[in-house]
Amino acid sequence: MDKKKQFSEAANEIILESISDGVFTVDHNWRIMTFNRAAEQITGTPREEAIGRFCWEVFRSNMCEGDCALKRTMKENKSFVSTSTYIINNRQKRVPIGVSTSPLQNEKGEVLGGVETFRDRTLVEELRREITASYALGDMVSRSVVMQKIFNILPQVAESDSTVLIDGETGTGKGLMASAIHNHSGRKDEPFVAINCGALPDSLLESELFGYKAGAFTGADKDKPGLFQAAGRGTIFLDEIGDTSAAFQVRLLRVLEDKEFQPLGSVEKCKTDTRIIAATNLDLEEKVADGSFRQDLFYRINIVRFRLPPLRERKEDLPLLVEHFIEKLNHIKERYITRLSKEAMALLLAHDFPGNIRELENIIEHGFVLCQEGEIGKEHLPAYLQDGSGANVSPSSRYLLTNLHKSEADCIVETIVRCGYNRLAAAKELGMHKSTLFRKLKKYRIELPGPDGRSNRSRK
Amino acid sequence: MKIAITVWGNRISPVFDAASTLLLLDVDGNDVVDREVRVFQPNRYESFLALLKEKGIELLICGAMCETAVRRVEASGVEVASFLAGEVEALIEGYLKKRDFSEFSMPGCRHGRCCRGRYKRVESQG
Repeated sequence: MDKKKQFSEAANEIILESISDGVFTVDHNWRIMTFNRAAEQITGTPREEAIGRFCWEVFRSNMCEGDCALKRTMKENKSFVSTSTYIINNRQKRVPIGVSTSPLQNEKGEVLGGVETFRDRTLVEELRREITASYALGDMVSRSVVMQKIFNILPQVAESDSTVLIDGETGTGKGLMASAIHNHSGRKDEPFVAINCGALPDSLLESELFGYKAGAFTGADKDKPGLFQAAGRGTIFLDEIGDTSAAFQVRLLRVLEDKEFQPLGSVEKCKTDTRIIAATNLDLEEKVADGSFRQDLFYRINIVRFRLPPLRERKEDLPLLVEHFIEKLNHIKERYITRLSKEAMALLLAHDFPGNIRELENIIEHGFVLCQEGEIGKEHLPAYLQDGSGANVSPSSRYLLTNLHKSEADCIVETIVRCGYNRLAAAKELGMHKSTLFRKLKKYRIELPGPDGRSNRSRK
Repeated sequence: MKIAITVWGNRISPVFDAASTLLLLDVDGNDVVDREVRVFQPNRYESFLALLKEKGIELLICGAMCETAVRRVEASGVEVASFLAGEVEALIEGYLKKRDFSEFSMPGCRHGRCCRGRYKRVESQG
């Protein structure tokens, strides 16, 4: 029997030493009792130094001080599986890990301490990044079919040097797309200049784009080169082109046709070889039809056209985009937010995103303000997302809710009529208690004839 | 000499990046002449560095600290003694008695890499 036990213990030790997961055990005083080979490798701490020390001095996880999984296990005497966190190894590097904890019990069921297993997720994180990169183009990420089609043809369009028109709702990433086109083109080493045409009055827009000569107007003390000159052989991105005036459209048309422009106050024309990418969130065909956008300019810029779908039409991208923004903000703010909780993701999936990807990025940033570390929960999201009722419900959700209520009311009326106005029978058929039925009748203001069907039958 | 120590109860906080309490000490000769406890957010570097500057801190003593954080703090002119563990009062006492920090090194910390074994207090300090 002793031999069997010895053999079993030896086998356990061999198994512990051969697995790639780090394993250590602690006693009730949080002193490390055992520490396997993988734990040595991941933490960078030799076993002989680890044994007998407090676990937090060896493990060095961001959870140690606050939300210690092992502490929860010891307190509640139950196991916890796979919590994402990080440790700091002896080379001062953050190592992403997954942690599982269990109570350590002897044969009699007595708790001797706790056991923690942890897995180095560095490789997983790197692979995840590579997979994400395959769904990325420039700063845009998407795995939706529509966007993948755009990603596929974008490099060819970028190389073509043609004028590009991008249309899409506000916040869909038109600027990022213009930048991606520039970065994939032969002009990538030249400047990329962006201007929002809708934000400036005509005269200012013209002086910004074409520049001016000294004395062109009061206050013009010296020559100022415009953005066309600044862009040189690069790319100029004209955002919100649909909001420009007729007069400006004429001037822009001339630049596109003649490849030259005239700074304000100048008698000479300047040649330009700048590529133009225009974008709008308006329906330009409609604007051409109603005469507020020049048809000839429309055809000049509408050589290659991309339509960026709104986020509500590609919700399959939400997890990828959330991950992308968390990674981006972790990098900028030097933080370690691991993910969005399931509840928070469910709230996002139910949202309509009128502000599209920009709104999503702002939501994640809001989460970063309220959540210092770990998982962004629904309590870290803006209030308008958490409150799923009333005016804060998105238009499509409200539409769905209204129709659901309408269908429920119709269904109740139909069932009651079918049951000969017998409320109890109708409630049974609808699978609800009669008091629930009465509450719903009141809620939907359904008026029924006075006598109950049951009382009619009893009188017969 | 003004020192900041990240603390967790009566011990040095195990991980700087997850610490929340800072013990500020003003050491004059062999005595601690002033003590102050401040709550801070280590991830908000700008405000943390501003606090160190405001208090005139010259040395930060803490537990495990990632490379980026070490660089940020050191770039602001504050010396960092990281990868230290143990009871805060024992560490302060050792510091006042001009002992080096090697006895407080975290397991796995190699001199020349983490706390670098260079924080032995010399006569000219303090």
